[in-house]
Amino acid sequence: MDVPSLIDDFATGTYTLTRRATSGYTGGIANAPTNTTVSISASVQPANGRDLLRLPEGRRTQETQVVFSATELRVGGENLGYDADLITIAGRTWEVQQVQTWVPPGADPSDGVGYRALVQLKAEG
Amino acid sequence: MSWANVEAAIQAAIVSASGLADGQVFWEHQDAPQPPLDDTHPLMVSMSLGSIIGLGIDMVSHNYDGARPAGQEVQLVVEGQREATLQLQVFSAATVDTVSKATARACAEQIRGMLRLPTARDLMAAQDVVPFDPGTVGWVPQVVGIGFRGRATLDIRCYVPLQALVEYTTYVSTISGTVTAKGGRAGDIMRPFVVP
Repeated sequence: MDVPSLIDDFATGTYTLTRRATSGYTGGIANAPTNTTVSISASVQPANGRDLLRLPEGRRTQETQVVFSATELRVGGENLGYDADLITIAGRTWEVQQVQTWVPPGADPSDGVGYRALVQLKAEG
Repeated sequence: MSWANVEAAIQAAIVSASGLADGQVFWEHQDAPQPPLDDTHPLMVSMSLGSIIGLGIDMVSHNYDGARPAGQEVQLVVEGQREATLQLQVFSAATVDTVSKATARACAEQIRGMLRLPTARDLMAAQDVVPFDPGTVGWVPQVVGIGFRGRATLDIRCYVPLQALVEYTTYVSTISGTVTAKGGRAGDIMRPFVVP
C-alpha cells in the first residue's frame, strides 16, 4: 500500500504550507524569517482527546486539528534554527505543534510514509 | 531616551563583554527560534530587563524659553532615577571548562568582570545605563533530552534613564479684550480681539 497515494485518496483539499526559514538575530532582535510557501495535498480531520494530551497543558484549550500529508511537516525545536510550519486552512493560519511519521497498519514504509501533525490556530500578532 | 536605544546599548555592551558574535546575544521572549548552540557556536546569552524600580520620588522641573512657540514657553519635565535588573542567562554546549570550550559559568563570570572595564561600560553609559551591582553568577546546568547543557545566570542591577516625558504650557495663553473706537458719526465701533 502506497501511503502518499492513500493520503491523496482521503485528502480534503490543497492547502498552503508556509515554511519559516532560519532567521537569526541582529542587535539582539530576531530578524524576520524568510518564508517560502508551497501547496500541499492534505486531509484535515478533527483532533480527539488523546491528541490533546500530546500537547502542553496550556495549549489544550486551543482549537486543534489533525493534518495528514505526504509532505513532511516540521515543528520548531532545540537547535533546529527554524520555527514550526504554518498551514492555511479556510483562510486561517494554523501552526504545527507536533508531528509523527504515519504508516497505517499493513502499509510498507518502503513505499513512502505520511505525516500526521497536530496543528493549532495561531494567535495573530 | 528611548527603550530601543537603551536595549541596543545593553546588547552591544554584553556582546563586547562576552566576546561572542552579535547573533549569539539576544533578547528573550521573541517569537523566533534560538540561535545555534553547537561546536561552532558553543555559547549564547539571552537577556531580559526585569522590573523597573523608581528610586525616591520623581519631580517635575520647569524651564522657560521665550523662543518656543506661543503657548509652549514653559517646559515641564519629569525627572527621577530608575533601577532595573538586567537578567542574563548564558547557555553553553560544554558543562566542564576545557582549553577550547568555555562553560556558561565562565562566560557569565567574564561578562561580570568586563562590565567593570571602560569598553563595555562606555557603550552603556552612552545611553545613561550604569551597571552598579554585578550580581552573582549562578550555575544551573539543565538536561535537554538526554544530555547536559551548561547554563549560568547573572542578575546585574543597573541605573537606567527615565523615559523622556515632557509637556508644555505657558504663563499667559491668550489675551483678549474689546477695542472701542469712539467719535465716529455712526457711533462707537467695538471689536473684540484675541492675541494667542
